[in-house]
Amino acid sequence: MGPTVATIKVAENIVLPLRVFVNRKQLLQNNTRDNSFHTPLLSSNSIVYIKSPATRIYLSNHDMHNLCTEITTDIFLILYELSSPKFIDGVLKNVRIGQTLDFQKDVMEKLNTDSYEGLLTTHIQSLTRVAKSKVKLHFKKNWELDIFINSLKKLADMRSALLLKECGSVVPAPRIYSRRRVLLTETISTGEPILAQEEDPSPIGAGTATAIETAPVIDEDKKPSLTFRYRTVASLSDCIDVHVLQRPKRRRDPPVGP
Amino acid sequence: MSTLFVQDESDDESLQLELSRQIEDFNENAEKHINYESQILPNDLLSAEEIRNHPIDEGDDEVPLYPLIPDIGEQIGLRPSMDELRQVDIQLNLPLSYQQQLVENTLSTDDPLVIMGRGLGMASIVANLLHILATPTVIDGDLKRSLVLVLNSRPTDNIRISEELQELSWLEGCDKKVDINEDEFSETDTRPFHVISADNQTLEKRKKLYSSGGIFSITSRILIVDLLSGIVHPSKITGMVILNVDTLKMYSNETFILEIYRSKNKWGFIKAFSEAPESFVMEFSPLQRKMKDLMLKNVLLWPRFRVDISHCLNNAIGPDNNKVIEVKVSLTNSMSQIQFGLIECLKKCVSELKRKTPELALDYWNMDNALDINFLKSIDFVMIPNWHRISWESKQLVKDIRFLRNLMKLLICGDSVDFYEEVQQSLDANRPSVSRKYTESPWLMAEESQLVISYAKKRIYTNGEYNLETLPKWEQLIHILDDISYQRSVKEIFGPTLIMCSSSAECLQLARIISMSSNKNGFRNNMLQKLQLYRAGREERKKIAKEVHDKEPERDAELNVSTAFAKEQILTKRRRTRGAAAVAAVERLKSAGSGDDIETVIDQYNIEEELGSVQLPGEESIFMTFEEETPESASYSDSENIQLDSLHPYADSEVTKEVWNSRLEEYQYVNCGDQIIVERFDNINDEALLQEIMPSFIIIYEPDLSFIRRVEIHRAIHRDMPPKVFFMYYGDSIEEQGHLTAIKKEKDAFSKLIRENAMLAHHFEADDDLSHYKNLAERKLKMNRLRKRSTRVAGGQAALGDLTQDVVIVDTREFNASLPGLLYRYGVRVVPCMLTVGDYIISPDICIERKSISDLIGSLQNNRLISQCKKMSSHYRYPTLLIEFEEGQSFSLEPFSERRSYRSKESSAVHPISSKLSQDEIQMELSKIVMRFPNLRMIWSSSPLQTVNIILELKLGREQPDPNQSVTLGLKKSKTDGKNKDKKANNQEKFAKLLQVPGISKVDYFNLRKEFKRYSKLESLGKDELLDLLGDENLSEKVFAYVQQEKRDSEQDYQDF
Repeated sequence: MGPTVATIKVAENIVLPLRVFVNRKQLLQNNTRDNSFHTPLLSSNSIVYIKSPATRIYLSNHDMHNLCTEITTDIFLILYELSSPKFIDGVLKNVRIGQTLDFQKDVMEKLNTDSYEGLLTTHIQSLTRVAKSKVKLHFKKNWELDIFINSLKKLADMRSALLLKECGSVVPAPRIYSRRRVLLTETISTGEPILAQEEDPSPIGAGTATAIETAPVIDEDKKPSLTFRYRTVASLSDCIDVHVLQRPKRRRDPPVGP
Repeated sequence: MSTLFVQDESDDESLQLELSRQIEDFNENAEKHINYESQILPNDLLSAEEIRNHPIDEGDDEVPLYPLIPDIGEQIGLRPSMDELRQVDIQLNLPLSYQQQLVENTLSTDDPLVIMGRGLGMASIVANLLHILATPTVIDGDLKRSLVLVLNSRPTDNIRISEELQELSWLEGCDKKVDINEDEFSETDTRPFHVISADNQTLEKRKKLYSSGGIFSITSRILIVDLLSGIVHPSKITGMVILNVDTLKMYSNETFILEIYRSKNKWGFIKAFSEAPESFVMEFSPLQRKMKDLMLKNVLLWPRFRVDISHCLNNAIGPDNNKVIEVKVSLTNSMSQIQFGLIECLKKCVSELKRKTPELALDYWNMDNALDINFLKSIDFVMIPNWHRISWESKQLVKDIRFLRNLMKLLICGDSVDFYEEVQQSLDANRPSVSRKYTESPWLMAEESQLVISYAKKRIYTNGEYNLETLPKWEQLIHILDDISYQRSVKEIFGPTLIMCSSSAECLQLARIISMSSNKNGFRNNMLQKLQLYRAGREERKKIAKEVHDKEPERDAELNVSTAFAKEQILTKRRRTRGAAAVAAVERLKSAGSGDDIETVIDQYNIEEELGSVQLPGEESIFMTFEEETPESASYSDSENIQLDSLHPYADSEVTKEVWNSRLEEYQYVNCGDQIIVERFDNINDEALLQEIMPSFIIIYEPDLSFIRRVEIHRAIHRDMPPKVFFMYYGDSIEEQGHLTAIKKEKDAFSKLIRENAMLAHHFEADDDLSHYKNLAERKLKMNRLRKRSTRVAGGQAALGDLTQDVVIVDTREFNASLPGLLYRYGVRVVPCMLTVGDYIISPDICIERKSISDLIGSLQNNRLISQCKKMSSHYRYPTLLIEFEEGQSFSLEPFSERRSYRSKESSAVHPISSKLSQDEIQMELSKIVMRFPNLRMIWSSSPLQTVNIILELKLGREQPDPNQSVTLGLKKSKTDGKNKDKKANNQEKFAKLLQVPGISKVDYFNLRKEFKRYSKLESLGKDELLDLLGDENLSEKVFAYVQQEKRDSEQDYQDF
């Protein structure tokens, strides 16, 4: 089962895709063993028993939203700070491949100069350098995650593009953008369902109403006329993978595992 | 026609029957085989044991002088023994039953070639298979990780496989926790996946990696060097998996690798995969040849119409859930006229080509196949080897066919301005001038071309006003999108909308169209902007053309075509010619639409006025990229330094609270339902990527066979929430026809394969086949030894001299070529070394620099060849330049030196690797080199096979080269101070003495030197370590004794002193 993409908006007209993997380690213990096929594998003197496919697990839109909100600060920390010269020269240079750092102690203190004091709290626990420009961050709050940065170089480019954008500069280099073109739907309702809307603000279902979509309410008598607009946004290329290790337990439901 | 979307059932019942018969047969065989295997194997092992107990009495001279792959003797025990059979549980990750069947089938077959239909998800099947195949082996009670190699995989395959394997390892991990609680077990049970693609890892690191085991995806060039230099031994490789078999050429490195592998390892597996059945039916029995090349034994065919698959996919979701909506759009009048014109032109060009080259033409070249993807390939395949023999007109025709195919695609995909631009450019290029009268492309001489041109103009401009025709699909697309949005506003639908099209240019086009659709004049504004762009581009080109014009030498060639193309007026003396009315009609046709040159009108038109001040949302991203795609990963290699551009002024900017908060404000989770994603088919090349996006709506903007299959699989897996599919196509168009052809071609290919498979002879090969070239060479060697033993033959004859095996030293960078592999097959020992001078050393005197044609031209231009020749002639007596043509290339410099006449590679008539150098210039440069280096030899070879013959002939009666010497030649002497030098010299001297040990070959010596920089290290070595290194017991003992003796001697000396 592959990853799922969550898209988050990080600046005006710029979205960042996060690839979310679900680590099903704990989930499949109750798998039955019927319907298995076996064959001898001569090259490694074993008879392999192959099991029927496992169940698939997805994060719901709600969960995804929840997850993305929880890691807001951390994503920005990653985007803006983890490829800064301060971090690369000050911290990463001394980390060998395979070595792990305590993020709060070793990293944040170096990054936390005066300007950052008390500004942000991160829940990233540790930092491991996996390859030359690949880093693993362990996150633990309600969710437990491994956040992989696949290319620090790419991240550095994204950072400079974002900073340039912040300063209102020219269009940044296109190579940090993915080829995938993304448009967002905007709904403009030109009917007059305003009164009805006040009575019932969220007809779509809790937790999923978005800011850009003004929800139309169908009047019994009149059909509201809707027009839609599609706005292009630039999508940054894939660079950050999130591996979900533990999902927060639901309050009312019996525990279901991650 | 009603069901373009699902076209799977083979109506040919007998074919189905045949396939299922084969499947049954196969299953029976497999069972038998298993039984057979389990009965035979113990005996087999016993005999192996016996052999080990009674080693054949080999004299010293029995050992070949240059062991290609060191025999590792005792370690043959790595072969898994059947006594230690055990049960292993494996958790797979294949949701569909046919996928699992495919894996099972592949597993239980001996060395299969698996040919699958397009889009049936090869990557996930391969990944699961690898996971099973890499099951650790028990040897003498210990678990050993296996070593599985993956060859010929594309970078995208690697990424997919590694992700899938990661998922599988997670599954495996959770299993272990429950079942077994042995620490050491889980350690070896992981199956790490490595990708070795460039020489970024050192030799030592690679060696370590190999010995730690796991799954490796390796570039064949690296693997072959590693195999030949003994870094990895074939008998330690558990098995090989070869992907994309269809892309392999004859004599490729992969076949070389497999041959080495099989010659030393009889128990490992080879599994090969391909997704392109068409490529196995093109030439004469290519299936059998490929299988022989790759040492494969069985064929497994998995077409889409196989019962297992169609059962799984066809009725996956109920009819009420099955939401495929076909949207058939009709072409506009102009478009269908143009399409008609193009088809007629193409028809004429193809038949003219057949007329011009009757001895070459294939029956395949007709209009039925003209829309096939392989059509152009098939023409190239025939024409390129004969390129120097066909006439100028035929070349032009080939070019035109290519160009017309391009125009057809553009008609469907591009908008009217794009199309017009392309046509206009062709016209400009063919405009007759004073010096060249009739260099027109032949297609322009067909009557129908005028139809195309006039309607192309008409789409832009008619009757004094701008038409700017929009594509009919656009409007429909917007309707569909609005429909989707409306549905979303009523009911909550989670997934995003996905729009799929074929190229990134089209992605851009669609994104623009969609974003501008809300405007009242959205489409027209878009077209106007395009027109503006076109105008700017044209100005640019004019400027350049002017600059170039004076320098360009004129070319004079006349087209000589049959009357089919006779557009020129036929001069008759009669005042009234017959058929004048028809002529007049053609005249009128030519000026259909607007007779006048609309170019000037375009110039005059004030677009800005009409456009006004239309501000577009997110415009910056729209015009961002028009250029072609570069692989994203290319610029981000690991070796690059992580350094920010120092130019960047904000790199160190301090963050304040306000800035941080304003950033946070921008943060927002984008609801999936709001997204519309426009993507190319190529980028979603696996079902898993579809799953990544999880779209609720899929709009297939144009037909694509493999993508449709992917959607089918996706729907079958996600039965509970199938996406709604909109399938758009132009009715009665080349697009529709092309899609149908693609389906038909694949089906035909499979039916042919099924039949060929039924006829395929069973192939068995004895281990030591004497007809084999390599074995012939070996036999010669053995015979020689025998003869030497008998004293009766008179001595002193040259033929009875010490005959050794032929050795050629090859530069490690040369292993991309097929020559080293061929040399090996002809019984020559190939020794890979890092050479500074030359590519091949075939005797102490002869050094060869091999150049393919494109290489030659390149190195002529950058003067590299001269420096290479200089080096060669200063170190060797016979420096040689080998100019090697490829098999199936014309043996002439002509095709490589034609000039380009078109801007894009696609539509150019010249050979793909043509250059800026003309034939004369190449010859001139070559003669210059000959004059400068009078002792330089030159060899012209028409193919690698001929080169092998030449090299073998050259080696006759000559001494074998010395790797040590060759490597050191040309190396810059290091600047060291005297003392160090002394030490070094001493070191070297000591090593050199080693050569006096009887039986040590130069290669052994070379290996030793490679391993040890300092002699003292060698002294401290144990006997076993030496054995590991040299792989020969006798020899290692001798070396050990010698080294110890030397040590004692020197100690003695020291004491005496």
